[in-house]
Amino acid sequence: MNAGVVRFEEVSKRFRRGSARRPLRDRAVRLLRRLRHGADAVADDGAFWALKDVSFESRRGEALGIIGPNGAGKSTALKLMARILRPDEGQVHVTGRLAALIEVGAGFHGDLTGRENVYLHGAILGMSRRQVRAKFDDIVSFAGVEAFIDTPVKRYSSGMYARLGFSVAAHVEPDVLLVDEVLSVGDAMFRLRCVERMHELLRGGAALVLVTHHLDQMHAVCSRAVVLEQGRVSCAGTTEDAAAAYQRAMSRTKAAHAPDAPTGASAVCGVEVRSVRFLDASGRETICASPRQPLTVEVTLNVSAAIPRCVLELNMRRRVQENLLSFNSGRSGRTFKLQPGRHVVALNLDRLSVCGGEYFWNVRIWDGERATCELDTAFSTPLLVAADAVSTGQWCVDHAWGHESVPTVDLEAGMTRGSQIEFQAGIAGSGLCRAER
Amino acid sequence: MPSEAIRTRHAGWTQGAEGFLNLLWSLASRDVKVRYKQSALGVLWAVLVPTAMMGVFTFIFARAGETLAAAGSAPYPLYAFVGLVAWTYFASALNGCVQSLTSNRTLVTKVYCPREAFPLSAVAASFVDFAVGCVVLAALIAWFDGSGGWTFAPGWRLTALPALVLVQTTLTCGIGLALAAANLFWRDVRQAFSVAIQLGMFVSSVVVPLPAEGTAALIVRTVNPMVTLMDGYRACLLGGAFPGPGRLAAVVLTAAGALVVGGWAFRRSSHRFAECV
Repeated sequence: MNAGVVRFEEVSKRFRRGSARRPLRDRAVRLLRRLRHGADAVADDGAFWALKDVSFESRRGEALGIIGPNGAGKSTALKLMARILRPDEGQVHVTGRLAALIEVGAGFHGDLTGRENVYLHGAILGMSRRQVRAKFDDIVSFAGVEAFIDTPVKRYSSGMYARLGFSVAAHVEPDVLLVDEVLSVGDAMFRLRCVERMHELLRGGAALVLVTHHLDQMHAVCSRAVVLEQGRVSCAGTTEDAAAAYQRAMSRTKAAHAPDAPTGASAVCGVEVRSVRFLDASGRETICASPRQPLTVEVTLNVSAAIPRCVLELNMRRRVQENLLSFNSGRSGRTFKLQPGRHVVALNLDRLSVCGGEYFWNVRIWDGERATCELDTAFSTPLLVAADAVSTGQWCVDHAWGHESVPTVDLEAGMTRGSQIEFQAGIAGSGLCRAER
Repeated sequence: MPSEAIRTRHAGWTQGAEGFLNLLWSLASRDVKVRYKQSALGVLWAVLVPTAMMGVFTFIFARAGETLAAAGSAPYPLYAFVGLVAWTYFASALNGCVQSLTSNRTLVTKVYCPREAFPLSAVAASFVDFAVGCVVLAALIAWFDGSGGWTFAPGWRLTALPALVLVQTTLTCGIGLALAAANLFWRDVRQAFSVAIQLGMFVSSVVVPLPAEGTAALIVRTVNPMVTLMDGYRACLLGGAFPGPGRLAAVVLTAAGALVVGGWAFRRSSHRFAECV
């Protein structure tokens, strides 16, 4: 396999707002003005830079992550690499055979069967029929659509469709693989196999560029990352650095949008949730917490009718209806006496103890006397948790490794006793469920 | 804009001629398959459409008493069918070309492959129908052979037939590439094309020959390469005068020129396709 290399040298790409083309009359007017006053008189007011002076490089055997908020130019960068777009300035170098997964199954035709589409998509990606035939069984079993391979893909579920699309592209044996946010489809099992397949390609010397919003996905695949913000590189370095920069960017974005209308919620029983904020150890507002630092969740309430015994419940979720953490003030023996007016209720956590990722908080309010849930905020407030260099998985638990070499007499004994490897674990402070103060 | 700084060095799609032909074949067979999927008669339509047209024109012109004058020595249905098969190939291929980029929007914006494949595969897909039409034509020739004082005796002229088809295909590809690119920037092209192709049928001696004399006929004969091709086909299959070497040279040059210019225009504008489609 050849060396796959992607290199951007001060690449800029400009798009025009609104219609891609001007009406004929407008063009005629501009042409006249240009002839009379010179080129400078015709400012291109509708144009904006989707990318400006972007430079980075992904070498063979290396996976580069590109992260950034929506509209930062990530997909534009990918399309430039894939030769779909051409830069307005700068240079794009790509060597080796390239496969781009900008939209899975983009080459599929709904009326054709899975089999026909595999051959078609293979041809579009540059595989010969012989190559596709040799890989056909691998492609189909990787996608897990064996039973439906002779069914038109328009009858496929979206997951099957996407899996087949990824599967074909991943079997092209590309020197450069570009992947845009496609792993969000498919179940966990399939995502895992995708990540494995990407590692396989990387070991084979391919260069990989992954565009994603999911930081754990980036951590799983990439060794380096670039953060794009408004078309510029705001950070380039290790995935940890990039993740931190990305989260800072998100905080800034959130701060900019903060004065928006109240975060929602009806005043069902005379209580309205005005905002949910997160404060770090020094009391500053943040939306990016560290797994090992103290965190305060601050709920601001607007009360219009007095509630003598109010119980608050705060839930942290990864996805809908699945509480990872749940804090109910009633269970800790705390109720709040709320008079009409504005109130702030704070929940102090010693440490969050969850691994890096995006979580959602919601608030439920109970009337302690009637023991009914009066308010369940429909909205969730997102909280980003920074990745931790030590822990992966769900939980971030303090731990230490031990090792001791034990001389074994015979094999049997050695097997039963084993060499001793200690593993100590303990949720520090066991503070997870005693955070209420 | 410092255009000298713009560069894209790429070896992205490195499959050479073999890969390109495979892509062309795959896209064309997709178009053919999709066209006849979920249709009860399937590929029979490729036979039915020109046959029905032949029937219609035979009916019309037989009544108008023009049959003999039009066909020379050959039976009019044959005269019309030769014209219709060749013209249908030309018209449907171009129609496919015009829409080839817009109908492959997701491929143009989300995947890279040589963009020429889209219009060229539209030509290839129409060629399949053309081939079916040729089989029907062979059957018709066998049917009419010996009837009405006409016999099938092409002799050496039959060898010129593949060359004529090649020239027509080249011409179609050239015009098709240009139209495909143009339609991306000006969607007016599609509307204008559908009018032009309707009119074109009546100035290309498809079912009615051009008048033998008159300035208008002379001009049309000179500028419209399809007239020469039609005359050529008929000379090969039905007998009659072969177009002179001057006209043949002109049509070959026109076809080659169309391919060069069309290909150049397409290539030149192709980097903007993804933004405009």
